[in-house]
Amino acid sequence: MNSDEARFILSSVRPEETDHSAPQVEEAMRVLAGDPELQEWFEKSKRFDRTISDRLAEVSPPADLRDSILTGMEASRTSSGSRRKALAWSLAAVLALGGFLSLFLAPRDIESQGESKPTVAEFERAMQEVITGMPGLDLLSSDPNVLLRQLRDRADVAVPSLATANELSGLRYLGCKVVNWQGHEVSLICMQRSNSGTDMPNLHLFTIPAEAIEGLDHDEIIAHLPESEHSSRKWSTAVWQSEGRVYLVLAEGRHSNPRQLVPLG
Amino acid sequence: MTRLKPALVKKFVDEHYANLYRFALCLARDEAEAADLTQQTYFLLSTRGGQIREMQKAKSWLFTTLRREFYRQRQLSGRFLSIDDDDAPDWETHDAPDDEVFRAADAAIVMEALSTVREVFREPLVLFYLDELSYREIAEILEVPIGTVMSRLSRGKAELRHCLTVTLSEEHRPENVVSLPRSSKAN
Repeated sequence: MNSDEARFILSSVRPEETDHSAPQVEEAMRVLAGDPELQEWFEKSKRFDRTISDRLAEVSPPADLRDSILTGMEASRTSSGSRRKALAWSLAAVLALGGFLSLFLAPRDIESQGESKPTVAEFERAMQEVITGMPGLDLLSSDPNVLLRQLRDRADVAVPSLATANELSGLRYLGCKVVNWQGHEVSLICMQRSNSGTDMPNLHLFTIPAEAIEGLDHDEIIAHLPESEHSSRKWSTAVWQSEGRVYLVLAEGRHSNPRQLVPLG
Repeated sequence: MTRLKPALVKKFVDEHYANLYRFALCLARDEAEAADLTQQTYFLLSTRGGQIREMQKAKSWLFTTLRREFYRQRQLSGRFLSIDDDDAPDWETHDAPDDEVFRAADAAIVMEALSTVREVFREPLVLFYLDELSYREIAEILEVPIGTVMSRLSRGKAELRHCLTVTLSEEHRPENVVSLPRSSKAN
């Protein structure tokens, strides 16, 4: 091995790493030991590496990245952890609904079991159950364009018509998911309202093909406030139909018109 | 599905999120995309982390997952990368780097130079300079043999020196490079 060959090998060697079992590295080290000029080059090369490492370490992540990561993970963990409570609440709701029992309990990921289409009320309750029992989103991103692209990639999913302009800074996008319910793919985009001080209420937008839901006229909006301040049902909701899609908004807290919170295009 | 304990997940965030972001930034060359990739990687850790058999492997898992997620998203958006272009001619510059010249390079200049290094060399270079991963771990993340990693490192360093020299000595400013504050503090 000559000096140039040794340089090529030594330029990839991290001196403090002891796993130099490759024969070429051992040979390059032997050449190095007997060549002062090569030793000087090697020292300079190590200083160069140190400089690049130091500069790379100076690149700071965005100030809020750590908190965003932890918030996203906490939201996922909390939704999973509250599943048992949500199921108990759902069961009570199902008993109250009586006649709707079989439809309401239909698993989300199996085909529809009857000829009749689910109603708006069933859709609304089922999607609330999805939120409280959701194991996680399919994709996390703060960029609405990335989320819409992810949803559009699924040809069978109804994608909302969202305005994604920068001036909609009151919203912080979290991620998206596709849920199979009653034989239909439902798209979900999760957001937070970031213009409410330190509290960042959740906002969820579901979209399903209009033909999947029964009993909703065009231009009709069905909205509900939370039943009480201390109710387990803490969502204000709005359901409406537009351009072949049914939209459902779940907004945390009390809102008389949750539809206005979503930047639909 | 088994999930990691929140305290363990938080530990992984604190220990690795900054370097994961730096790796993502060097891949994506876009700060917002890098932040999203980092966040998505940790989200996947929180949902699939139970699949990691040895916790010592979590660090490699994070970098591997981020890299795969980057290429998956590139594929989805129709933006493909020429990852196999290591047959292109090398920069024959294994000369001793000039200390004085390269010490003048700040973080922004180094990132700019790194962003112009070919993808195939940039990945191992960044993982190497993050100073957190062994050769074996880098090889696992890039899914290539250790010998390939070392060869790419050697050629990549030569290319980086060339790119740094160009960046420092000319007004040349290629498009699509990362723009960073010149005096960012260490994290």
